[in-house]
Amino acid sequence: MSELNNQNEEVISNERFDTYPASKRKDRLFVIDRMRCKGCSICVSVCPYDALFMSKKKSTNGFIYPIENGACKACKKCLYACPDFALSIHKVEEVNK
Amino acid sequence: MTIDFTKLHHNFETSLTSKMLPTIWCSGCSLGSNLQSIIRGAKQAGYDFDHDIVMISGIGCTGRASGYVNIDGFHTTHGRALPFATGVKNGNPDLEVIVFSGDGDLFAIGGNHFIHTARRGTDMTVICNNNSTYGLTGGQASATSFEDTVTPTTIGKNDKPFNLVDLALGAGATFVARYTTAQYNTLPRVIAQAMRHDGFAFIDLVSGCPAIYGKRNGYPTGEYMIKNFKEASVEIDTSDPSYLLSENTAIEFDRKVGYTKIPIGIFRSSTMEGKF
Ligand SMILES: Cc1ncc(C[n+]2csc(CCOP(=O)(O)OP(=O)(O)O)c2C)c(N)n1
Ligand code: SF4
Ligand code: SF4
Ligand code: SF4
Ligand SMILES: [Mg+2]
Repeated sequence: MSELNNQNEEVISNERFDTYPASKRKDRLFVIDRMRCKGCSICVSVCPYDALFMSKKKSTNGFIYPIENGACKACKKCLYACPDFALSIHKVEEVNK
Repeated sequence: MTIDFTKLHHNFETSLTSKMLPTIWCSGCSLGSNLQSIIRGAKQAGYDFDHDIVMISGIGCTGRASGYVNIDGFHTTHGRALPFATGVKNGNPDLEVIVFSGDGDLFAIGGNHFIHTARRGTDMTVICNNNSTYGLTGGQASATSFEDTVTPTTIGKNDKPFNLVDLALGAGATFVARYTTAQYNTLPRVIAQAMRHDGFAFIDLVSGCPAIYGKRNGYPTGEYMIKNFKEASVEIDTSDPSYLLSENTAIEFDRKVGYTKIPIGIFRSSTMEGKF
């Protein structure tokens, strides 16, 4: 599954993950694991770049989850603060098929 | 672009027991981020997770942590994490022994073990997930619940809480620090320092139980709790020796708004010898 966000970036998803191009050079991938997220919004409030907001829809686990708006700098603050190991940052070259 | 979804595991996935996730912990609980800080600290300190370290915890929500981390460990009986840890250290002195347990486990039922293990100076790192309550069993008052807070086991006003920094300093711990869940940037470095410390190292990791204790006492969500920790944390000034006075190390709490003052920093370490 793939769609464009409001920054015209390709958002690629499957039944578990949402992936967003991130960092200035867009050589990073910001990943949300919807199967682990419990909807606490801590990631939204700690992001220094206001790059996240919470979904209106619920995940299959019944929780709202974060959506990235194009401003993610791949700083990893939300990843460290997330209590559910639901966020990760990858180098695009390492996860590209 | 085509993405290989099998590679999108968490950045510390190899240190976790993936099959056990999601955790049983409530949404917004301090525990997950704290556990991640411990993993990052152990990595920073350079330990090989398969051979160098062991994690021991007692019973409680915190006690579950030893099952989510991919290192050998013991999930011991309630209050007895430190006797188990002492046995492990005596049996295999080369292991770095980490105890991660709750305030109830370490300071109520296990309080006696804490003061004596600190007094003996057994070489281990004890990290207390200090959420000021018995989270697992429904939010009963613990030895660190704050005055004037509401719990199912106190009528009206709770007693004065233990100041864990003060207690650890008094009992003879040779490394003593306090931080909160919200200092996830600083914590790994401090945890690595505590692990490398030769002797009894203690970290009062001020944490929250937003689902039960917090809901009743001024911090209803994890999001509020993290902001509250950031705003209430005050870095200690070690150049003025009065920072060690009990009144300057004590945490202040108000039932209406949550934490109002949390003195944080490294209160004692081997590099500060001669100061005491
Ligand atoms: C000997 C014994 N007494 C009492 C209990 C019930 N009990 C289980 S966990 C717990 C307290 C947990 O509090 P804490 O250690 O602070 O952990 P938290 O759940 O807050 O992380 C108690 C009293 C028990 N399991 N065993
Ligand atoms: S911090 Fe983690 S669990 Fe909480 S909403 Fe964000 S991704 Fe989900
Ligand atoms: S990695 Fe940094 S910039 Fe990106 S969403 Fe997380 S906190 Fe915000
Ligand atoms: S009961 Fe409290 S301490 Fe236990 S998982 Fe829930 S929020 Fe965390
Ligand atoms: Mg507790």
